[in-house]
Amino acid sequence: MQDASRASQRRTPRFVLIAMLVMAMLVAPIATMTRAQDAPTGGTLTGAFDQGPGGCPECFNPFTAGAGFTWFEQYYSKLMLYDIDFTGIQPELAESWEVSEDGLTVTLHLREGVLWHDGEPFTSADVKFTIELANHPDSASYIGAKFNGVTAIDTPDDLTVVLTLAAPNAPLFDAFTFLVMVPQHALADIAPADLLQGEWWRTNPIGTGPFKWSKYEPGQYVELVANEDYWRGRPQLDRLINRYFPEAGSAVIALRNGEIQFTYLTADEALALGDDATIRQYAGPSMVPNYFAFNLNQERFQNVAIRQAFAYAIDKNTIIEQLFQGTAEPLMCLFSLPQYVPDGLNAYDYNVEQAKALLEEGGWDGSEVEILTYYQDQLSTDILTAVQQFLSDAGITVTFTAIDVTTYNDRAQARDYDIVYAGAANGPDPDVLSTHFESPAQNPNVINRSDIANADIDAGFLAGRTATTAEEREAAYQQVCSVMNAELYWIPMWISTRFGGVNGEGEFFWTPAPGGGRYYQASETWTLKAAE
Amino acid sequence: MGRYIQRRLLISIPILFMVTVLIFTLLQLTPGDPLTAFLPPDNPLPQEQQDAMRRQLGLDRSPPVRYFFWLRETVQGNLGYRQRTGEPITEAIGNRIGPTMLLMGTAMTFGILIGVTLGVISAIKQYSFLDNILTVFAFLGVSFPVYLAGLLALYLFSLRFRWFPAGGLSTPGEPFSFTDRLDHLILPAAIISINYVASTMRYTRSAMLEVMTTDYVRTARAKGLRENAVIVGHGLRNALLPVVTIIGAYVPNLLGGAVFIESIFSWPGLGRLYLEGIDGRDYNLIMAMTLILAIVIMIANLLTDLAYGLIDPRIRYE
Repeated sequence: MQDASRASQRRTPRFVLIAMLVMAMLVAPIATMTRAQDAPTGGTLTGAFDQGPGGCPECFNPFTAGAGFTWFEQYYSKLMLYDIDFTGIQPELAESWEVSEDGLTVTLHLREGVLWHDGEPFTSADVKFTIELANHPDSASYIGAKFNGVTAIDTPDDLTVVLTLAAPNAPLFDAFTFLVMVPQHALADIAPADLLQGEWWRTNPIGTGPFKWSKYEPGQYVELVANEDYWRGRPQLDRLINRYFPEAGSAVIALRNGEIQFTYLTADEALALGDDATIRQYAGPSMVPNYFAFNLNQERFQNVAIRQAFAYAIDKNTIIEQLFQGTAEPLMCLFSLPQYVPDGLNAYDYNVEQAKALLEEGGWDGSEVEILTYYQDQLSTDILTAVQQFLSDAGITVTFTAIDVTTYNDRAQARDYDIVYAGAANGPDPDVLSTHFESPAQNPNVINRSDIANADIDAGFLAGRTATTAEEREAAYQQVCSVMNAELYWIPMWISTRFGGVNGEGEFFWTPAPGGGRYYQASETWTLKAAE
Repeated sequence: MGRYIQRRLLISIPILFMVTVLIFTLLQLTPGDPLTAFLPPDNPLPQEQQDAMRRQLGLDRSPPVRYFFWLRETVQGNLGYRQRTGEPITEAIGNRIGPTMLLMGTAMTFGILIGVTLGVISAIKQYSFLDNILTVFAFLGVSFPVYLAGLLALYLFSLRFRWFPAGGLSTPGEPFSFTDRLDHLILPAAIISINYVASTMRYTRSAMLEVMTTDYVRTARAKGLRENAVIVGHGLRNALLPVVTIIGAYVPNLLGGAVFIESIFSWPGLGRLYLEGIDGRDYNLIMAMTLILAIVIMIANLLTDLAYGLIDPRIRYE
């Protein structure tokens, strides 16, 4: 339904749209009246919103949580969000925006009549407050860094925000899809350091989303109730419940039991549930590129021939076919969206002879290599076992170590690794990868744990960031993509598919939270088919 | 007796001190710290901000200084905050202590009652068919991994037969009701109790067998006492001594909880909290829980020793 109506909209000529808009404005009061008479369908939807890699169970501070937006967006709102297909950014609390010719001024026009859950109006002061809060060092928000280029925030009136930028900043709109709006009137008196882990987030947070906070039972669930004053109209459902399952298998049993209406499924679980007619399955791209990254501080990996030998030695297509059952897409570089990937790149198709020749040429010393990963699931273990075998066929001795994320962070940060197998920053905007590839000399905020310093990559990311047209951006990132593909500081592997299972007859969709879930979910339209 | 208790309590202070020093030292040796655990692996925090957080969490100070701060606050009753969520630790523990004690208390009570009863029966009917069956059950019960048992039970009783809900403390969003709580409690408590039934039974059985061959039991029988009176009054009473020892050893589990079962059954208890603390390198939480566990173990040991005196009049504490 959703898709069909959107598709037909695209084909409608503009003047018809305008005519419809005018008509709509005339009949709007009548329409609201009729809608008020149609009682919402009601009911309680219970789901495991924070299950799987897109979730962040019991994370309540949206400025520091790296994922979990699927849930945050039920009670908070952002200025803008991706559409469900992640093809573009659409208005939310900002009704429209324009960028000045030189790209240095961004004007946001806020939606009128939006109320916080406590009845206060949402204004430009809240936007200014939120950006400044995220940017405050004590708020410890990774999102703040995305707004570093903003030099001034002006609020000429309640519904207008004018941002002045140091340089054109194309990823700024992607940054806004990370930033939930928070109320100045409720938070201004709390010091950012106290707010970082403050109880406000988990006792009575105030947002502008379709649902309002109702209660939190630690270790069990959070309950939200419908926001009667939601600007898109009251949601159909009365309540939303987010249940926590420390053990993934228990969530699947609760799904099959009918206790919850949806959860995330691993590829194995999705396969196993394939013949269960009561479970509808959804699949979507994870938007997480998996890769092998070399520690370039080690001399043995500094020769590109050696890195290419590793790429040729691993048969990624067989892994995709056999282990992923075809549900992953191979990558040419770390970008996955086609407009950023130029033609004619080397696919490094499996070729063990070539790998051996390159090892010979690069003077491989035959030393042992440890692959470090934080993936501890069965599929990843199988993948690494296969990789170990492939590399051993080419004459490379490999061991692999799977550890928890904390130890991984610690070792990677200390450069105490040979090669890591991991997934990179998540989402459709190519700039998210700059943090791994850009040199600290150009951008002091990067992680760059491979210690990559490549002038072409630096220039490409800078050009992409400051581009003022889509064409310029595409050209810049295609350039970066070619260098990534040729230099192989990271061997790009694949983007996997995420699965979700929905039980029963409810009318709602769930996508497996690509990009951490920063898209418009239309949860105000979700319904449960009434149990007759 | 009073002086004995006093002495024991005094000795426990340096022991507790050593336990906390040991745990604190081990934590410093564990890779990662609360900040690295807090950072999403792919979303960077500028170095400047990381440094600010380190300062805020007190991680920029040397370990001895941090230990001293921790000790000073703890002695004053301030256990600090959970580093990930900012929840006060007393509140976090307070929230989860009830569910854990309910789960473990139920499991232990039934486990011990059933275990002692079956142990006595299998001792009296030694080498009978029933005894053999119970022995096999005991070995299975002790050795079967509880993790697997939990998943299997969920699959069978929750999914296949639909007798019980798939975990949780209560039905979300519903007001508290006794039957609802019971419904959620039975399955995990039953799984945990299997272990207690099995081990209590084995201890009771061997203690009973030993006691039933002693002279005073023969004397009791010779007096013409009924067999039941002999078994309960003379046999069981004396056999309970070793059983009380192991029951005393169970008590700390009342708080330690069953980490795996709590996870599988989404039970919001202390075992799960401890696991979250370790995952998040939440030093405050781990220190607080270890301290509390150590105190409970010491009190349990003391109570066990005192219980000996009640059961066995030969034991006196000066």
